[in-house]
Formats: sequence, structure tokens, C-alpha cells
Amino acid sequence: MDLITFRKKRRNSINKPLNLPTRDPFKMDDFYYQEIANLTGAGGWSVDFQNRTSFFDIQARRILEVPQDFEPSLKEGYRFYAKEHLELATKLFYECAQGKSFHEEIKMVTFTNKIFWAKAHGKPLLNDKNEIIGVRGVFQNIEAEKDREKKLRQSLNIIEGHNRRLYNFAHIVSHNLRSHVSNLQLSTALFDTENLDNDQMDLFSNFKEIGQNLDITLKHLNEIVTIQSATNKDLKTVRFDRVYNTVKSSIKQIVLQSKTVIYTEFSEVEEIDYLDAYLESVLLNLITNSIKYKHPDRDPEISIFTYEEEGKAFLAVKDNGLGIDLEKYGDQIFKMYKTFHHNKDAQGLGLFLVKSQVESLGGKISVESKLGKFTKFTIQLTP
Amino acid sequence: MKYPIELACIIDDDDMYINLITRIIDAKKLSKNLLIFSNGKEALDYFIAALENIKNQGIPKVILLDLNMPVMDGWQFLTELAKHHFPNLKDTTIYIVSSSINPADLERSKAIELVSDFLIKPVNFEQLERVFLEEGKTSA
Repeated sequence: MDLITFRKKRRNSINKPLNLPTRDPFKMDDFYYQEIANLTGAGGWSVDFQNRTSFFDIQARRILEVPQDFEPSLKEGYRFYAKEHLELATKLFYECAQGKSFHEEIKMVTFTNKIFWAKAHGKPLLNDKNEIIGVRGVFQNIEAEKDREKKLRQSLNIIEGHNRRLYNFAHIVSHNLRSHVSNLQLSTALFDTENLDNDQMDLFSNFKEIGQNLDITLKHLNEIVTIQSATNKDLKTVRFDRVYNTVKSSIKQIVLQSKTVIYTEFSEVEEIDYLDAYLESVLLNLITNSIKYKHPDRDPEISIFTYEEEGKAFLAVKDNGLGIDLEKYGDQIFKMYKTFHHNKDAQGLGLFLVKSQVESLGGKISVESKLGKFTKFTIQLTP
Repeated sequence: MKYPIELACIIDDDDMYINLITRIIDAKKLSKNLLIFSNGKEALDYFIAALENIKNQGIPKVILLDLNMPVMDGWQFLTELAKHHFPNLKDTTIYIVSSSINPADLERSKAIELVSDFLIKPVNFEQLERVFLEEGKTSA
């Protein structure tokens, strides 16, 4: 419903020259109109070509800060547009006078020369013979909105900058540091240890270990860097059962030795557009975690299943292991280098990687657990 | 003592790495002679001169090529070398040896015909030995 109407002058209402609703136009200045105008901060204007008059409603007068006795006119109208948008305003008005409506964001100027961004809509006004007899429209001060948008864009730029620097940093570290580590490892490999006494040999083995540890740390860093650079274009349709089988055969020994029983059910969602390497990593990390943190009194049992909820694909992995005190550790479980059990295999990278991989494709991961009973990871795979 | 390879070539700007690799090659007697260049440009100049000189002399069987180098990096070297279409180069095997573990570099190297494999630093003795013995066999 178009609430903004051309204001009629009393003399016009007698011979009805304009294509106006049959309702009393003065009723349009009533409750709904006022409230909506207040709510949206939108003002109305019109130009009557026949009578060569222009009109601003109360809200428009308020937005444009015109004096009480100000009489709008077509000629005066252009003073309310910023210099750089005057051409646009003129074009929009003339096209509208030819019958073309407009919806535009445009810079306007108040009577007191304050510049503001406005959202402006305009439509031609027709009589009953479909002739254009005027133009009318509304505009809304969106300065606050524009300001927010600007601030948001600024923050985005800052964050993008940080992110780029961080990415470069990680790249330099993982790449350039590696050549030094590589030389350290080669040197230790070539070093002739035969003539060393026990004490010196002890010290020398430190070098070897330092080299290995540095190498592992840099490999972790690299895994994280490569997650950041994966994009959606590499997605392929992957079948859950295939990926599961790949993972299962790669850890056959661990599964057998730990007497782990794994139940799978992928019938509800059989496949998904994903990065197969990520899905493999997710399953591998969650399964091996369940085995690593099994309950000492029982053999591990793991259920893995997919399902759909509200059009989104989910993967759940539930075990009967040690569980974790989420009240104590809940916010840390997915963080890097956090381990919660005194287990020497624990590196504290698996869940961090899983979360990063899932999130890089727009998904989410959550965890439920009861200490001594179970841990269940639920992964929303699609955004 | 028979060497599996007469001539091998290392293109790398890291002096310490060259020193270490040379030690391994010497200790394991993997190649009789070694050509060493500290960037792609030096190597390219040599190869253009050697390959235009029809005789097959001085063309290495194995090239261990680094990627990140000043003046001319490994990628540029490969691009430039490919432009010349030297027929004598068909007996030469180029290995990229880089500390890069960026999958993008690996993918890129797969697309280059001249490159037969991608070794990640640190290369270990066994890897290096395998490369040289393999090449020694094919030339025999």
C-alpha cells in the first residue's frame, strides 16, 4: 500500500485532476502514516506538473531542516542533492517524469548544508488517462546505516590485513625455517659420533632431538597454513562409506590391537560435496582420539553416523571412552596444543585441525561428554 | 671404484646445504663429478652454452634444483630451459629439492614435463642414494 500520496490542494479536490485514492487525502496524514514515517524516518515529496507546485511532507521538512515558511519548488529542489550526485538526481527525476520509477542511494544536503546519505524511491504519478501528471516519492536518511557500513568495512579491511600478515608469517615460518631445520638434520646425520665420549654423546643427541622436534612443529604449522588456503572450488562429491573405509584400513592395526568395535550408519546422508582429505582427517582424528582415550575397564566402541536436520548434513561420532569434564575444559578442547589426559601420544593438534578444517568449509563442530561415560562429537558439515 | 653417475648438478643458493649434500655424494660415491650453481641464471647460462655445443660433454645425468633462489628461481629456470627444446636434455633427470611443503608447489611441479620428482628437504641418505642409483641404471 502506497501511503504517501500527492497532497491535494482543496481547490484540486473539487475537479479531481489527479489519480488519487478515493480516500480523503487528509486521512493519509493520520496515525499510520505518521507512525510509519517516524519509524522509518522517511519523508515524502511530490511535484505536480499541472499546477507547477512542489510539496514536502512534515517528515521531509524535518529531515531537510527547512524553515517553517519554506515553499518547495522544482527549481529549489536541486539544492537538496550533494554536488557530486546532482547529475544523478537530475537524471533520476527526468527519467521518472518519463515514466520510470527509481530506487537509489544518493547523497543529499539539508537546508543547513549538512550532507547525508539517503535511500530514495520515486514513481511517476498518473491520471486516469494514464498520463504522467507528476512525480512523487519518499526518501529516508540512512546516514547511520551508511556509517555502520563504513565502520564495518573498515574493520573488515583491518582484519583482512591482519589475516594476510598472519598468513605470510606462517608461510615464512613454515618455509624458510624449514631449510634451516633441514640443514640441522642433515648435519646431525653426517656427524661422526664415534670419537665422542658419553657426556658429549649425550649433548649431541640433544641436537638430533631438537632437529626432529622442530621439524614436527613446522609440519603442524604447515598443516594449519594449508587449511587457510583451501577454497570451495576444490569440493568433490565424497561418499562417507568410502572415506570411512580408507581411514579404517589406514588404522587397521590400532583398531585390532585395541579391540575397538566401530558401528557405522551412513544411510541417511550417503554423500556430500566436501574435500575428501578433510573428511578423512575428521574421521581419522575422531576415531584415533576415541581409541587413545578409551576407558580402562572396557573395550572401545565407536558409533559413526550421518543424518540430516533442517536441510543440513551432520556427522556424529560417539564413543564409550574416558569422557571429558566439559565444565572444566569445554572452551579449550578445540584449542591448539591443549591436552587433558596424561597420555604421551597426546599432541594437542588433532581436534584443533578438525575444527579448522570443518570451519574452513563453513561447518561447525560441537561436543557432548560425560566423564567416565562417553564423548560425542557432532559436526554440521554444510553451512 | 665405479660411480653410478659421471656428472650431477646442484642448483641451490644455500651454501650449507651444498656443503652437506656434497659430503653425502662424496662419502657414498654417488657421482664422479659435481656441477654447482648458486642460482637459476648461472645454471641456465651454463646449460645453454653446453647444450648448443653439440657434443654430449658436460651434460649432467641428474639435476637437483632448489625453488627459492635469488636472481632466477627454480620455476623461472625450468621455464627458460624448456623454451630451448634441447634434444640432448632427454637423458637428464631433474629433481626439485625444496624445503617447501606447500601442496601448491608440489602440484605445480607435477605439471612440468622436465621435472621427474619432488624431494622435500631434508633429503635423507637413502633417498639420495636411490635417485643416483636409479639414474645410473638407466644410463648403463
